[in-house]
Amino acid sequence: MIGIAGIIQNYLSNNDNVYVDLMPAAPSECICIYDVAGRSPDFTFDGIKFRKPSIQVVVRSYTYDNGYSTLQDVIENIENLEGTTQDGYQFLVVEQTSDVFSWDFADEKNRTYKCFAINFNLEIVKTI
Amino acid sequence: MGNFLIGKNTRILYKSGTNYLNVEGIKSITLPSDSPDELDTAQYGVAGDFDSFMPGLITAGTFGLTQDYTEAAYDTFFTLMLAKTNIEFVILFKIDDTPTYDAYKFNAYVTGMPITCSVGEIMTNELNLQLTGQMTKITTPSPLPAVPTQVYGIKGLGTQIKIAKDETTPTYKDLIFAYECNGPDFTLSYEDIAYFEMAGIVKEKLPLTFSVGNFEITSIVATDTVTGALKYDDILGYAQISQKCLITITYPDGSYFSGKGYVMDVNRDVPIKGKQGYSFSFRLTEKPTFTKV
Repeated sequence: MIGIAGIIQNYLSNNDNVYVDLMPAAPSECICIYDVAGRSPDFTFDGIKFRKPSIQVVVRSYTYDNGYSTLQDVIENIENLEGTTQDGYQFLVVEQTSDVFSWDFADEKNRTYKCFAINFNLEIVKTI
Repeated sequence: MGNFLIGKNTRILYKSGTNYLNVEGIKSITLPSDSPDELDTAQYGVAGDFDSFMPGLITAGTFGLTQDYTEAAYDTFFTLMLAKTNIEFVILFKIDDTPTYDAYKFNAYVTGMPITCSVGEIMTNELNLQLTGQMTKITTPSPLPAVPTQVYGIKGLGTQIKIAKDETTPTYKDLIFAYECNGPDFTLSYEDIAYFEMAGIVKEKLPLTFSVGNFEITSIVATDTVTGALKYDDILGYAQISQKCLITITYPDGSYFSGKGYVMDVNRDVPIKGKQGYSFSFRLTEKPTFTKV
């Protein structure tokens, strides 16, 4: 996958059912990584570009405990990205912009799920 | 009801020979204030009374402009500053739709012209002036130069900084990953040449010497840098051996500063989040030369 959410998906390969930018109807329990706006990039005089994208991670689960626990696990994994290089990008900053927030989701059969989300600000640079 | 004035359309002229020319690209103006000294004339302190004072000699004020950087304007005033030239300025406040202005004249020396050069911002320079006497209201000068055309600023992206550590056989190396380079910040100092204090008299100013000036440079720390380029360890080393170095700073429009000095005040910023940076001063030991293309 290309794109920042795609790189995160690759990085979370040990987690099951991780999707990018579109959460499918099934499986019911899954994780989706969204590219969200982020901030304007920084540059150096010699043209090095430090991109500042943001991502949102959403976890859908049957139960509060499972969903929250899965998201906590994902947060720890993503935080470990800081200082590492993945798919040609060095991750200079991995920073939560808030704590976990949640909402309820009902499908077409009126089954209710718990959704949890977290946002991260990133700063990345293409490895030279 | 009064006719309230706004800052837009304010103009500043300077006299070159017998003509007035525009100071172009002005972004902001800080007007001078003439402030008298306070001569304390209280003889005995009595509880409940005010101390008394008389106004003394008036200190000629300072005047500050911020301009979008253009090499032509910078070259003009930088040359006048180094020559310690007393320049006549006229500030014009537009009062209505007629071609007349509220006009005030003053004489001043240029005392400093630091450039702010940041990678993502429009480059600007200060034009700091020390008045040498009172500001006086005059009639609108004639002929007036045409209203200055729009100046389009340039961003700092593309600025190149090169440093050579050996003054006798210099080999310049590129400073890479820099993103801010401000200066030179030296200023022209003054001496009051008024002989006695008398209410209403403005202190005359005599230009003396230029202070030591710096270029302040900020860069990002990285390993595996380009072969032969300067990195943090090199800059730290230059500071530690106290060796006179040469510097050239070339702006995106091709104009450039050349100077001699020492690398000083090397600091490294180690935030818990984000990139490590380092900054240093390049302290000039003599007047730098500015060259326009």
